[in-house]
Parts: sequence; C-alpha cells; structure tokens
Amino acid sequence: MFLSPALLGFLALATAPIIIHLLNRRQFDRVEWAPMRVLKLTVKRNRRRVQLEHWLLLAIRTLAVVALILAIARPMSSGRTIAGLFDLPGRAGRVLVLDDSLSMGATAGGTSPWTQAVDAAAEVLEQAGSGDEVSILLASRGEALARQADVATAAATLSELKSRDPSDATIDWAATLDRAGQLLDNGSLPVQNATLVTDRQSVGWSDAVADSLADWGDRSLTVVDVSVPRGDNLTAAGIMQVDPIVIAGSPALLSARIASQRQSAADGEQATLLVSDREEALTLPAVPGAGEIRVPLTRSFPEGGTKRIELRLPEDSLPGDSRTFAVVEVRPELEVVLIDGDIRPGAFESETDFVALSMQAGYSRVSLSRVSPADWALEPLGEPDLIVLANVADLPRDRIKELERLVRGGSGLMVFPGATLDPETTNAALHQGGEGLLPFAYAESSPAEFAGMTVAELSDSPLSALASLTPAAFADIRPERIFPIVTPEDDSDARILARWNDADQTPAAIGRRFGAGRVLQWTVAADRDGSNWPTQPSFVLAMRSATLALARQSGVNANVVAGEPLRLRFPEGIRPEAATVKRPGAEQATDATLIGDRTEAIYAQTDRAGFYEVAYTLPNGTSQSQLFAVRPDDRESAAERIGDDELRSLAASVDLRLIDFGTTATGPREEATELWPYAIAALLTLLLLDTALSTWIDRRRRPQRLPEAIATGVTA
Amino acid sequence: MPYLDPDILTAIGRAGFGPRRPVEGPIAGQHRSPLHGLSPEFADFRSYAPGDDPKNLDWRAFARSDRLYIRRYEEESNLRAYVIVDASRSMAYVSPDSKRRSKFDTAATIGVSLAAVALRQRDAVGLMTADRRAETVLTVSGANSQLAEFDNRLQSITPDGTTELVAALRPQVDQIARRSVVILISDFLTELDELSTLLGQLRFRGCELLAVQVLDDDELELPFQSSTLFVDIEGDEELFAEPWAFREAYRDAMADYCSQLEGEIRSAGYDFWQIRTGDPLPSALASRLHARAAMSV
Repeated sequence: MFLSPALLGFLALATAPIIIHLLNRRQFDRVEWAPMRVLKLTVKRNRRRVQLEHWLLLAIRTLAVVALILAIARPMSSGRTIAGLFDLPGRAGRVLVLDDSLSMGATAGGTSPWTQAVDAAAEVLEQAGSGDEVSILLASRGEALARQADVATAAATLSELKSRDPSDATIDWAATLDRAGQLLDNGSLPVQNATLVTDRQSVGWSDAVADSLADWGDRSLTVVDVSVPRGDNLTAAGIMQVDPIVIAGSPALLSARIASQRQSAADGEQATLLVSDREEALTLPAVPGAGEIRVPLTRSFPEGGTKRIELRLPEDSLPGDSRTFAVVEVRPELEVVLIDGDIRPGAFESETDFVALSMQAGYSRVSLSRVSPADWALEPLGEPDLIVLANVADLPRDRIKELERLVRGGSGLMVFPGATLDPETTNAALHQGGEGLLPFAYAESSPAEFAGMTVAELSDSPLSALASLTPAAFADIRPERIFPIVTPEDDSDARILARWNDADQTPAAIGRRFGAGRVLQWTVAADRDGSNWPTQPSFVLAMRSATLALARQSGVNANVVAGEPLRLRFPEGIRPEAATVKRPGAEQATDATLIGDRTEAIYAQTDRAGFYEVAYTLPNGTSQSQLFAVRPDDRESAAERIGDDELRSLAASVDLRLIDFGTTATGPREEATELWPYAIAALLTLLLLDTALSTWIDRRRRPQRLPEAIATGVTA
Repeated sequence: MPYLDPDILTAIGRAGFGPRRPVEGPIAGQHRSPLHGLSPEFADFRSYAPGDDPKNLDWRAFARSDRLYIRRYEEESNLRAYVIVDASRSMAYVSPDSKRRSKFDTAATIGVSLAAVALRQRDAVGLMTADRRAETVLTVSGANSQLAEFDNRLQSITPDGTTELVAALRPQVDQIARRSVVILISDFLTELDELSTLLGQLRFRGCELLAVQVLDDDELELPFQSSTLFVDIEGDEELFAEPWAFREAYRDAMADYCSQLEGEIRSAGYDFWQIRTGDPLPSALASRLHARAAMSV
C-alpha cells in the first residue's frame, strides 16, 4: 500500500536512463582512422567487459529512479497492508482460515467484515512466496476449499468466495484450529503458518483453543482482525413452541424472542410473520435497549402436519440475525386411553369422568377411549399417545409388559390410585423395586385432614401450567384420602412436582422419564371420592397441561441452531439405503450420512439458516421426509470481541501475531510503518554504487600521458 | 619551400647525416668507402706486385727490410641516399581537434631536412614515394638544384591510396644502388608480414636502412571523449565505439605494435625512429641525428 499511489505513475521515469543511453548512441563524432586493425582487435578483446559495465551502470541508474519514486510514493508496512507479514524464511505451508460466521455479515459504510476478510486473504496471498503451499479453510463448515495448492490456485479459489455470503452459524475455534493443524500436518514444508481472518467475535473462543494449539510446536499463528464498527441491531432470536404438543384445530401458543443491541428502546417496529408461507404483518411491542422481549403468538392450525414459521425483522446492520425459522409439528389428533378401574353408568360416577372432561374441554381433536381392566386384558391398547391408569387394582403380567413397551416407546402414562388399589400388588406390578414404571412405591392409604397443594416451579414440568397460579387456587383442595409414597433415599431421576399441604409435605405428584416416555404418578384418586379437586378449575388445567406434556412426542428435534447437525432417527425397522437433504434455496439435494447401521441420518452442514428437508425411501418405495428449521445463531448478534490479552493467553504455546486489517475509522495509516526510509537507503546505496562504478569507468575516459619512451620516440 | 624549415636545418646542420657502415658513392666524399683510394688516411701495407704504381712504394720499409711494400690509403666516398616517403591515404590523417600538421607533412619535412643535410655533405639524394606501388620521383643526384626539386616534388604529392609498403618496395630494391642509404618514412600501419624479407634484400645489397615511423598523437593516445564512429581512412570499414571504455587497452595494443616493429627493424641491424606529429621537429631530429652520430663513432 502506498500513501501516494498516484505517484507510482512516475515509475515510467525508470526508463529515462535507458532512453538517455539510446539517445547518446545516436550522437557521435566521425573520425577517419588509420590504425583500424589495432582498434578492431582492441574492441573485440574488450567488448564483453565494456558491455557488462554498461549494463551494470544502466541497471543501477534505473533502480535508483525506481527507489526514488517508491520513496516519494510512501510505501506502508502495516497491519492493513500485511506487508512483511510473511517474513518467514524459505518456502512455507500455510493455512488460511476464513471466519464466515454470522457476525462477518455485519455491514458498515458499504463494507463488511466478510468483504474485508476476502480482501485481506487476497493480500495475504500476494505476500506469500511463489513456492508456498496454501490451504484455505472455511471455518463454519470445517471445509478445506483448497489443499496444499499453489498460490495462484488458492487465489482463484479465493476469488470465488467474493460472491458468497457468510454463514448463519458461529465458529467453534478449537475444532477449526484442530482442522487447520491437520491440514498443516499434511503439508511437507518445514515452515508452517496458520492465518485466521476474523472479526474476533468472542463466541467460539473457549479454553479448548489452548488445548488445540498445545502441540503446534514451531508453527506460527496470525490473527487478522477485519471487524467493522457495528450499528444498531435487532435480533430475531427464535420462535419457541410453548405447548409441548400442538393439536390441529386447537390454538397453539408460540413465543417469538426479540433481542435488541440498540442503546435505546425500539418501539413499533414492523415485522413480518410467515406461517406456512402465509404472510402476516406484525407490529412489535417496545423492545428495551440492550434487552429482549418475548412476543406471544397464538395461531391455530386446522390441519395436521409440519408447519413452517418464519419471522422477518426490518433489515439492519446485521442482516443475518433479522430472520428466524421454526417448524411446528401439528398433530391431527391426540389419542388417549383411559383404563378405568371403576366404570359406572352415571355421570361423573366413573373414576375417569373428570379426567376425560378436563382433557376434551376445548380440544376437539383429543380422541378418548375408556376401557375397563377386563377389556384391556382381552385387547392390546395399540399405540396411544397417553394412557391413564385410574384405580386399577390388578394388572396382568402381559399388560404390564405392554405398558412398559408403550411408555418406553414414547407414550405417556398417568397413574391415579383409587379405592380398589392394593399397594402391595400395584407396587409389585408397576414399581418393581424401582425398575418399574412408577417412580415411587405406594404406601397404605390414609385419611387426609388438610387442605391445599403446592406446585413446584420446575422446568419442563408436566404441571408447569399450574406454577403460574396463585396458592389460593389450590387452597380449597381437600383430599379425603391420599396414598403416600415410599421415598427411596437414592432415587435420582424422579421429581416431586407437587406436594400436599400436610405436615409432612407429602408428595402429590411425581414425575419421571421411562425410556422415551414420561410417567406422572398421583397420590390421590381421580374422582370425587378421593378429593374435591376434580371439581375445581385447577384440576382441568392440571389435566390439560399433563396431557400435552406426557403425550407421545415426535422424537425429532426439528428446530436447531445453525451449525448444529440435523439428526433423523428412522422408524423402528426402517433402514433406508440413502437419505438426502435439500438445503434452503438449493435446487439439488445432497446426501446425508447414515449412521448406527442405517438407523439414523445425520447432516452437519447446517451453516445456512432456513428450512432443510431430509428425505428417505421406505422399502415399499414410498418417500418420506422430515422438515427441519435451522435458525441463525443469535450468540453472534451482540458485538462482543475477544481481547488481545485473552487471545494471547489462549495461544500462549504458539508464536502469535495480531494484525489489524482495520477500517478507515480505526485509522490504519496511523498505525502503519512507513517504508520510505528504506527506499531512501536503497537510493543512496545505488547512488554510491553508481558513483563508484562511474569513477572506475571514467578513469579510462581521461586521456593520460603516454610513457615517456613512447611519447618521445627516443630509442636506444 | 614549405617543407624546408631553416630552424630544422640550423638544428641538425652540425650533426650531419652519416652512414653507420661504409658506403659507395660515385665521387669522393666524407664517408668511408669499402674501397682503397687516395685519401691521406693510411690504411695498411701489401707486397709489391708488378704493375703497381712505383710512387706508392714505401722506401723506408724497403730500407729496413729490403723488401718492396706498397702503402695503401683509405677511400672516402660520398653516399647515395634514397628517401622513400609513404604517400598512402593514411598519411593524410590530421587530428580533428588540433592544429598539428598531417603525418605526410611531417614525413615530407623530415625527408627534406635529411636530404638538405646530405646534399650539404655533397652526398647524392633521390626521392621515391610508396603507396600501392613504389615510384621514383627524383633520381639520385647531388646537384645544387636537387633540394629545390626535392621539395617541389613532395609538395605536388597528395596522399592517396592504400598502404602496401613492403609489397610495393620489394620490386624496387634492385633499382637501389649497392651500399647506399635508404630512409623509409611511413606510419607503418600496414601488413608487415614480409618486412623481414625486405630487410634481407636490403642487407644483401649492402644498403643501410633508417626507418622513420611518423604517427599522430591521436593514434597513440586515442584521446576522443565522445562516442565515435571510426571510419577506415583507406577503406570502407566502420566501427562504432566509445573510446574511453578501452583507451588503456588500445594504448597498450598500439605500444605493442610499435615495439614489435622497432624490434624487428633493430634486430636486422637498422636504425628506427618514431616521431609524432606533435613533436618539435628541430629538437626531435637533432637529438636523433646526434645519437646516430655517436653510435657511428
């Protein structure tokens, strides 16, 4: 880089010595000469020496002019120009790591860290030696775009990146440096350097980086900072599904998280919500400066299936986080089986009448089937989403096995004791000393002489809906008889979700996971014989909340953050030959990787936010697919840089150089070192050489007196 | 008479010009002759033989030895000098930057001066020119008018043609009288492969050679400061050169050439002078004639 690059045009003056030399050859005297034979012989014998002197003098004078022009053009050596960056001796193996995380797409003043990164990388390649081996690594994908390529090939590869956008993911620098180390391992040249071109966003720099660099030995690491000042930014941080299960035709509660990196509050911003490609305008409530809000979104889906949801905020200085994506699995209906140990013909006389009422209120697509234990003994349950055991006294061995299989496969189980329950029999069937379905064993029932219940505030609790209610909502609950549990000392996976207000704080509800399913154990009967709770609103809320929480889930984590892999476990018994992935905006599908003896497909290249569709073919030829939503990694949204000291600490084991590629605002020229003194030194050296050589040549130009004997001609 | 310089004659008059070996002249003169004659200088005795002039009997020797001896006296003769002036084109060289006379003018002046000295000694002098061929311009004569004629003939000559000195002179050697002196004035910038043959021919005829090499200062020093196109003065050849770049080498080469020439001539027993056009001729000639006279004694 030159501070006065326009003056480089004067480099044409470097031809002046050559032109003067040629012009001088056109100006000569003409002499008629007698001793031509002697003259020709002399010229012939001395021609090579004379030509060498001429060319040497010409070269020195030409270089002197070049040095002069370079000096006045004021060349710079700085972090911005990266001049002198590669002052390593000999040929070198180099890995150029380009940070293409979400934050690299931040725009400021018509440029972005990504644009600067490509420019900086090009500048780095210009500085590299012609014999160097260069690998280019794209950090978000861990993908080597060039491996041990020559500089020209690497430059061509780099030029293709100009039209590419950075990813929507963050970078795991430890893994990336491991990959860079592997690329250096594959090289054959002794001098090795890795250059990270990054905006130095702090996300992704962990202590593991130090471990990755621990065995780098003599390798050097250069970090080129290409960050730009960040403007105001509003982040669509994600869309969450509040209810665990969304049932078609029923209102589904979603929540959009909006974060602000602005200094002041943002009010009335206009966003766009796309639900199944249907566009809706959305006026956002006020978002506090440097804070976040959650915007509730209640939508109803008439049909089942996987629904796409996209939220777009107005574009700002970081366009990558102004969109977020989610998919919602809408169940066409929910299948619940109530195994009622006390079925009676009258209204609200059966053990599960209040439970059934609570589940169906407002949910038209909840399919309830009530069976007696005797009927169940004759016919298996099928694959219900939720099974409710209420006051079932005796459970045959095969039914127990069926229950265990169903719950382990994902079905939910809710167990209510009852008047007919024999704790010993029930415990033997369902608790099995801690190996069975029930978290805790039932003790003998006892009369209850207290009122009220307390619900624990636990995450992912099936009763989480109750946690928001005031204690007064439970104050009038008066159990008639409860079935205390025997709490083992070492039980670890069961959680007590609610307790009675007795002196012992007897557990009212206990939850645990069993395989892929969940179990909720109550210590009170489900009908009015056990308590007055079924007649209270909180009971309805508890049953609805527990139903949605316990019901069989899809088992697929269809909403992931960019950079996380997509994983699709195939249905039991299905082992397809191949699975493909259609990336957002892609015309062609790419192959996913099958793992676990073809029981699962995995796809890791989720660097772009959007909807991904993983497809596979069943043995009968039917094609199946699963939609995934990949959202931008909002950890990149806040402009938090890793400091020099922290970087030096992480890279203490290697030779670290920090370069600031900078911007106009960071003042690269002020930080730069001017090289003109070196050019002047070169000029002076060349002038000295010119003087010495000219003097040496000119000593023959001056006529000298002949030796006296020749001059006078006097001979003996 | 532009070539006859009184200053030169004054300077060299006392030195005179004599041969370094006996010469045969048509008339008696100042120089030793290989013949015995009537000069008062006693040479030796020989026995009387019938027919000898009785006036040469040494009666004193007869009285002492009772034998008849004839007294013999040395013969002294004048010399015949052939002045050969190189009249080729190369002799016309005049330095572009100085007012020195041309090599031919210098050669002619030297020739006239030496001829004047010889004629003053009642020697006979002739004039020949040589370029591609040798030509007798003035036959050998000791007449009073010879010097004027000598000068006139030289003035009428314009140097031209190529120098083929040796080839031109070799056929003319037989025309040169035995035991005469040949004064060859040239720049000797020509092929000298057969010079030794010419020298041998002259030795066979008992002639003495004085080789006078006339060169311009430029030809020895190559003093030019700017790029120069050298054009062969006797041909069409051209050579572009920057003289300062190999001036030293040229001077060395020229000195070697002159040294070789001088060596060859001196090894044949002849005298060699090198005179530059810039030299003051009176002193240059006088010093050389005095040196020659000293060598002859």
